[in-house]
Amino acid sequence: MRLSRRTRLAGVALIAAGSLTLAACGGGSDSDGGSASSDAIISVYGTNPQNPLIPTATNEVGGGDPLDNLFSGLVAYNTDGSVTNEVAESIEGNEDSTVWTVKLKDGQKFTDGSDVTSDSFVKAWNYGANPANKQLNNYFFYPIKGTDDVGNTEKGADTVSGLKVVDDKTFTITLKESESDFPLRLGYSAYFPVPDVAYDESGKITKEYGDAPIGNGPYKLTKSGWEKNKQISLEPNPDYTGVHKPKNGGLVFKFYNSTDAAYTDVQSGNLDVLDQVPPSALTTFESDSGVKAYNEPGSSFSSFTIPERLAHFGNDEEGKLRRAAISMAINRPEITEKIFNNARTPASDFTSPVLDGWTDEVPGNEVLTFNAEEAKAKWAEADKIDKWSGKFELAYNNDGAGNKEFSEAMANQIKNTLGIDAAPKAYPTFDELRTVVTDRSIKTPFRTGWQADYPSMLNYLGPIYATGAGSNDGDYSNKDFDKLIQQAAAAKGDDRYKLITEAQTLLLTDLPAIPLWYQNATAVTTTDLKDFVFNWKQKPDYYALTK
Amino acid sequence: MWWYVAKRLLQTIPVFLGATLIIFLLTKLRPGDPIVALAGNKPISDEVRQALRDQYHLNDFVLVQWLYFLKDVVTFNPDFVGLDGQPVFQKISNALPVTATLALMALAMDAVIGIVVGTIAGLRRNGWFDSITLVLSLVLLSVPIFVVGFVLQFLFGVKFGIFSPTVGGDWSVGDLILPAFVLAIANIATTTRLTRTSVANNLTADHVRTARAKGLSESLVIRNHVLRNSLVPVVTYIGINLGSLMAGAIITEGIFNVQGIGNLAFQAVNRGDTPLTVSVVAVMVMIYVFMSLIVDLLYAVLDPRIRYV
Repeated sequence: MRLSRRTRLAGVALIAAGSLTLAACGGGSDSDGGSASSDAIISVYGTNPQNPLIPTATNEVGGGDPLDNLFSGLVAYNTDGSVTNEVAESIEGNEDSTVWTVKLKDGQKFTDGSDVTSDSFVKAWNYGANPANKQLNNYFFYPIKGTDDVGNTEKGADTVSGLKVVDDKTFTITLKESESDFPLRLGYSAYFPVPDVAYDESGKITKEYGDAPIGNGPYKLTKSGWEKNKQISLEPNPDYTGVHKPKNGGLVFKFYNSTDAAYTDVQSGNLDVLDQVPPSALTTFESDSGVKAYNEPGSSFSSFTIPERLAHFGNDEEGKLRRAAISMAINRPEITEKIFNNARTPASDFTSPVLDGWTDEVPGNEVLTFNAEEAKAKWAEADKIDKWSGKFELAYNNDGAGNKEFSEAMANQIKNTLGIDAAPKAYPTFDELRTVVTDRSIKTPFRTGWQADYPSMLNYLGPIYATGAGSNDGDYSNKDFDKLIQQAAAAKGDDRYKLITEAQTLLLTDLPAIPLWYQNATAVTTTDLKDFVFNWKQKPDYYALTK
Repeated sequence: MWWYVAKRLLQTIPVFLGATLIIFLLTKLRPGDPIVALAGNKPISDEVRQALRDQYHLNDFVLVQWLYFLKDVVTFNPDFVGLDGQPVFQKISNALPVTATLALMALAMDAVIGIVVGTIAGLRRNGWFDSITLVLSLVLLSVPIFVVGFVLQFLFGVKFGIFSPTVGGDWSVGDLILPAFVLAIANIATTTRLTRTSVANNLTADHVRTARAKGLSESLVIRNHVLRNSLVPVVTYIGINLGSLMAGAIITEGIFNVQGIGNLAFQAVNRGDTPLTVSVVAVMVMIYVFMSLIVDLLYAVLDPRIRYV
């Protein structure tokens, strides 16, 4: 019998367990025999979107998941993270991969019947990059010429100078630097096209459009569409010709306040898919007979960053020794097992195992393995350069599940191994921590994480550790690393992976952030749901779900 | 009496101003920038951050921000939005019906079960029924609401499948029976104890002895002299409970996925969404104030010595 935390409580409270088990097992088996039906409507876990459903405004999963199904970009992501041209007929780079020419397929339409043209893309991107429009996804336009480091148009201009419409079906993108895998980015939601009807006379995307977007994707909104505080309902778009042709009769993103309630609904058959198992069920969901469980390494990476401006942790011999000592003082497998119940996998690099080119044999990654002797020796050596004093504090946000527990465990490990005063430091909410990190007013190391925007190892490196990059919270700067990343961006095939490995080896010496673990993708579905697969984003391939 | 009601209604104005101001200042004490929270762990440019801060008046002096808030509320500005760009009034009016229904159902369960059981226990003081109720109510009072919630949800929702385990956006009164019961449980225990003690006290009161001495039948004595007088403290308790039931629904709404006011408040506080937080809490405060007015008016009905002029 399955025993979640709640189940166990119930079991204690009532000893009628025998008959209950029968009832629980009965539900699934009847429907297993039936063949997949293409008109089944699949209900999936969702949360109320926090932003209007506009591609350049939506930056969280509550809005992002529906949006990914309502729109199609120039390319579509396959399950393994590789890309296939979707709306684009071709995306051709020039010799040094700085100018990309995009040709669109003929006959692509939005669900209101209007054509998808070069303008649908270029206008939407200009809109997103213009700071006057206050779009949260402006950041995605930073590689394009004519934007600043955070992706806003230079000097607040209305348009991005690197985007040029050639004709109705052709446009060019000029980049600031060579980037051979640029097309990998283009399946992300910030790059989706927007039809003309979205804009009002003054050129702003209307509120009505943000409530009921018209897209060109595998699905479109049903008549009821986005019902606030309830759900978002999608039905297949009959005119869709791309690679993610829906195999079901529609999707309903049901809104939940907590994943606990959603888990209960999956157990009782009221919800088909929950793509995020609640912490309370992590120990038991894989043995729960009432649900189908999925658990595999995912694409989000956890670390903690030690800013270089902290005393004793500068970019010098002492700093490097201390960083390595801290890293070797942490017993990662112990934490991923005891605290996260194996829903995390100890990290052996700075990227993620789901990506093309990933290897667990990056030279120098022994620094990520627990080694008390070596850690003590390195710390003592650093002490010879400059005597350590004070307290090693580790900042975390208390509103994320497991953060408190792992921070405490890690502080204890560091304390016990190195014999120094170490303690966790709590910030009540994520945004409080982010505010002090963004303002650079934080005086301690802090927890960081990264979920890639597009399936490329470079996306885990450049935006976080390159000099002056947007998410370089620790202000790390290493010219050699910057150069390697640039070269890797311009290189193709195996050369590229070799350069990335070299860059990672450099990071393992400098340790601007201490890699901790990769977060596993976990999900439960009802027993009669079929064809569930995680894509590289740790999300189900919604279009493929059947029952 | 109408003059009294008018006076009380006028008093709600300073209560509203004071309450919103205090809550507003409290939410402002919360450190962190809600705009940074909006951006998540992606970088946000200073231009966009400042433009958004200006849009929500976050760069103004805090009292000025409060005046902006008051203006939006008093004029019922349909463009008054929270940090997610959704109109605040629409959000509240979407969430209010389900929470109000939930609270009223809990209140009804509380009143009916609590008063009936309490009265019987009070009339048969120290009998077996009284003893059992005492033990039961102590148990109910001591078990935390989330334990009861999860256990009942699992048993009746998942295992037996009698009720839907969660409520969701498409709610019906039937879906709310289980959450309402969970919400009412602690209150039922208190109401029972209160009624029982009150009835027991009144049984030995002078006016009851007088009534018996006059030769009134036992049922008349109980109905008119014991019960009526016993209900004064009980009505106060139940009345002001409606306010706390709506506010206390946060946990219950979380367990049963009710898209109501408690859930709205929880999310708003989490995101640092001041306009929404203050509006939701102000609605709760107003409900509390009006309930206590109704309770005061009910006193006059129950206790002939009280007259409002």
